[in-house]
Amino acid sequence: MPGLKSSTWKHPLTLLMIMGLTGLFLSAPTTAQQKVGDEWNVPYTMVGDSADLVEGSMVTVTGTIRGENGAPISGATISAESFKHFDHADADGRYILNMPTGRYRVAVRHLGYKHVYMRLRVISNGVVDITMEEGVTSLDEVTILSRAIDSNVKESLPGLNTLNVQEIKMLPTMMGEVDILKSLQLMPGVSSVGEGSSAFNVRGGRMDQNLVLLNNTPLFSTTHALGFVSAFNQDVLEDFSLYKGNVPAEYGGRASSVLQINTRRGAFDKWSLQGGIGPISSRIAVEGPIVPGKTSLLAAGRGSYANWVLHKANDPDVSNSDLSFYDGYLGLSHRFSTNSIADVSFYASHDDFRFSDQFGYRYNNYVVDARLQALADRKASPVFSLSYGHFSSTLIDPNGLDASELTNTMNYLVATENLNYEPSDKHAIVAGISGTGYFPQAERIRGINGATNVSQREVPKNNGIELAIYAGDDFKVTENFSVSFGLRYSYYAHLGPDTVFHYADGSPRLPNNIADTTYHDGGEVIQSFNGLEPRISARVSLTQNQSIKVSYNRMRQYIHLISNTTAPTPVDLWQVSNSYLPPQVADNYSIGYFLNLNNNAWETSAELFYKKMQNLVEYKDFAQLFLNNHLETELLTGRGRAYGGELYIRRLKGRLTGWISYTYTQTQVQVQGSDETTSINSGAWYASNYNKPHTFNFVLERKFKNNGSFSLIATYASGRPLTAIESSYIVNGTVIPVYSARNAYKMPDYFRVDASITVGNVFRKIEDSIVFSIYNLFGRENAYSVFYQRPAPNYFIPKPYKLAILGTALPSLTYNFKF
Amino acid sequence: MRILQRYLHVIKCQLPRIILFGALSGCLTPIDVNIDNTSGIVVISGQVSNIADQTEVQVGLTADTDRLPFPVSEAAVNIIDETTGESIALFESSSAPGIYHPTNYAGVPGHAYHVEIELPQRGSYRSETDVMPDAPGTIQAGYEFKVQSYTDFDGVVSDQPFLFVYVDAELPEASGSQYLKWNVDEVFLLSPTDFPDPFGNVPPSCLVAQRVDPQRVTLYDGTKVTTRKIDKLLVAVRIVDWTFLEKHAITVYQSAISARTHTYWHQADLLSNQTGSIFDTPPAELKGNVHGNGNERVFGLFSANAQALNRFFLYRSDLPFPLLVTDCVYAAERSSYPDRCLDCTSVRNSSYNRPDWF
Repeated sequence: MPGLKSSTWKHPLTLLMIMGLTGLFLSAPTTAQQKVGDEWNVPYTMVGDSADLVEGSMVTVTGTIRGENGAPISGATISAESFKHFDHADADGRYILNMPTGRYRVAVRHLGYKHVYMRLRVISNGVVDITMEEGVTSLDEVTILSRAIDSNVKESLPGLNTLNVQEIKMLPTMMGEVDILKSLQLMPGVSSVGEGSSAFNVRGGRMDQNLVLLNNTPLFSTTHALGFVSAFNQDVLEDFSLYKGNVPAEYGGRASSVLQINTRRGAFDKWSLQGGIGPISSRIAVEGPIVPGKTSLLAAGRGSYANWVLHKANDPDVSNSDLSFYDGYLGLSHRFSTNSIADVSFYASHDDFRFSDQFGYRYNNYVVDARLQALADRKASPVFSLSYGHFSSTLIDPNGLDASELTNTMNYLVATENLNYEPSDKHAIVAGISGTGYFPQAERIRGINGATNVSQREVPKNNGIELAIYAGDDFKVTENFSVSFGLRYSYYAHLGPDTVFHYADGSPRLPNNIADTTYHDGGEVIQSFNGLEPRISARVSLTQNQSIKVSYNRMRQYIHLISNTTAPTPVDLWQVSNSYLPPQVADNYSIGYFLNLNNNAWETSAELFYKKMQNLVEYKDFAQLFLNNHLETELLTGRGRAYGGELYIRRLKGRLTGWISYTYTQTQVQVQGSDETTSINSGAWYASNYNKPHTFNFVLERKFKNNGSFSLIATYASGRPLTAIESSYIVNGTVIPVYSARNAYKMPDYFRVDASITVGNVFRKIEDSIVFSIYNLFGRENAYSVFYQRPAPNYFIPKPYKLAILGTALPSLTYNFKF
Repeated sequence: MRILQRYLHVIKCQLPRIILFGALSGCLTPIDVNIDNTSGIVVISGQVSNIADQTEVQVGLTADTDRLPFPVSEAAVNIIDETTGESIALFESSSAPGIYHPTNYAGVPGHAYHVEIELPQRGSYRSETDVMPDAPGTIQAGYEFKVQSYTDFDGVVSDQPFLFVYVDAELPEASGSQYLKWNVDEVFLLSPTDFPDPFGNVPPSCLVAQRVDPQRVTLYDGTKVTTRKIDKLLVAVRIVDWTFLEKHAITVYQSAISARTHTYWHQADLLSNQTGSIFDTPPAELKGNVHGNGNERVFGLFSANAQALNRFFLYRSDLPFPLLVTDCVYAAERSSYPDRCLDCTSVRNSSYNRPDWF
């Protein structure tokens, strides 16, 4: 019987990083979870000697992973229970798992080998040697097992949706681009802001209330090409989770939901190449060991050649336009020992767009992230991460007297230290602290193309720092009752340097009413906010396959998207809280009934939710948001409410899978000021811009042999609210339309069907596939927007028009390969 | 193969449009929106100008969605010069109901004005004060004829000749004259058909006076640029049609306006130029500066504008291309004539009033 490895740290740098940064940050290990399928319907294997059993104590399970020929399989992954305990086999095939005593579902995976599934009853230190058979499974298929098949019933958190890359790759695509954000819009409670857009709303929340994390770093832009293409390269993604109900205490800073996107590590054992060729862009990724078993690399890039397509258009405006985007990812992972691993990643994206000679934009996104993950002792797992982000956007007006470029830039620094502690199999404790600093550059405008008429100007932007300390416990009281509770305390400070305008008491907040001005030095705390954010959810299992879950959480948001549009634009402003812009606060309540049927082949759920929001940012009519050094004069704050229900039925097993989801939502806003200029719709409740009461999605996936599949999506949604013309009048010869109260009417409903066929193993010597998708199969002209214009130059009364981006079925053909 | 051809067709014809988001070159379809009735709201608009015949106030009531306001007659309209305390009465035009003019009054730059109106059975209305800027600056108008594509009401596209009107302008250094707006008016002669008459009577010619390209809102904001000189700024575009058969006068008015008036027109321009894209400013009710009783909704704007004008005349011989339209010249073999040739007063905005300068 082989000896057992010690779990103490061996690398001094690891120790230095963790210990030297006491009081800083460690983060949770990956939240991905394993699926329990039929594969785990095997008897338990006893590990250890029952004479040594001490319930709840940490033990070590070790062993060697070999192939059928006895050769060790370096880099094979062994994971137990939701990746809470995992390791990679070293060059000798050796692995070590440190875990509390208990029952575990364990999966062993490696490219080119069939997966091995085991159930272990671990009672003390022990050895489990594993033999893997050669097979044709791919790394992608690992991700399909990233959630427990019974998690629908057994997971404490309601309102948690997970999909994995393999699942979304099977869905029909728009222009051949696999898009996790569009895929999430098929889940209950998640809705799209508009045709083709990757922006989404969760349970009546706003776009900016979704925290999107790439590993541990918030992203301020998640799309290319005005939102039509996701900014995430599918080849670097591991998995992602959307928390829309109860959000764990370690997450904060947004009021509605958290989308955690995890990238994967490069392979530690051998080099590989994969990519895809699509109609407007192609991608490539390379990965492999720099030091086998120790250091791995994953590098990926994607670039568009949309210009080639644009320049072939018949419309001169289109053929004279340019659109290009690219993104790149570089990830390095180094294993200091079996107990510690460091990851450094760099992500960059760039967009450049010009519409004829009328306007253009350009934006860049850079994120650098460093993580150090370790097992501090046999029960604790700390993670330290430090990241820096940069987002800049430029709006270009290329012509005329005022040809100019307007640039906004946000720089931010995030540090977290998170500790997972599992004293027994009944508790999973998480605690940590985090800090985020926002340091935007001044908004700048400058003349271009020889237009010297534009005054070069700068408008300073506010700095802010957000700190949080949190703790939580996932407490399994009994087999049938568990409670997850957490508490987060957040503190925010608006920092100088800044000039604060004070407005005359009792007067509207207008530039003309500035009564005093105060200048604050750099670093000075100008205004601070703080508050507790309790998070609690509970699960009561009625039987083995049904449960009831309830949750409540409060979330605070100190940064706001200043965008007076229904869909995000690349040039939207991000504004931190200040004296006039208090934090958004949301209280989220939900209750749900969860039922799995037919041995977990089917999962169903019915949830009700209610969301109460304070300090929502709204806009005065015709608000001027750019280059405004008293932006507060254009903003209003109000309160909001959203309520509704979700139904979800999903088939998980078999060749025919898919789901049906239906969501009913009402989301409303009330802005009630002291007078008409500080109120909207006279202070009455009105439908928010993204209020779509009914949303229905149907997803069907049929798998074939040889990695082939057929997928079908049908989606229906109520039309968005509309501010419509009710009448018209003439001033000085010009017809002036009279618009209704804000969002008083409704756009036409939305309906779309997509389909795709995947043909695998096109060429025998490589792992590849061809995906043929048809987006909008029936060619329905759904309304992207409804607006008014005069039907002809000599016709004065504006008429309503529906603008459809897609008036036809849009096919796309993508070839994916992997060597 | 047919599938492949169709695929390539879609790639060429649809994909570029989709990439550019249709919002910029997309597929438009008229739709119906069921609108609540909002007729009967008072609309008051107008201006006081330093040019005597340009001071006017219009009073009306909104109609339903598809119609312009009804004129309101018998209103008592007075412009108040707050600087001097003078009250200037306006009288309803005999030929245009709901339009009120003073008797030979020219406003004074630098003076503050507002308008007061009494409407029968509705009550009194008053505009906010607007100060007339000091000077309108200098203006020189010019024009070009060009052929460009034109889409008519039925969506038919064709190449048509157009008149493009430009201005060269200079903003005065005087304080308070930071904002400019341009309007273009036209007056053209319309002679009806002179049918053979045993008495030798010649039917009188009409003059049609109207605004050119009224939905184009051309503004200048002197606070945002460093120069006070403007070269060849496009202020109006007009199709060349039968109205150019006879003498045609184009008058360009350059108005120095207040910041409040500039804001109103800037917002009106935003409302008039919606494209349906994500860059559109969300529409909203345009707030004017006229108020009624209590919280009564009132639409419209009354402004005090310092104006300068420049005028040029065009004749058929000036056109660089033949004018292929039906004229009103009598011919014995001709059996039908357009309505305008039979009765020139049937043309909208026509009258027998000939301006002195025409």
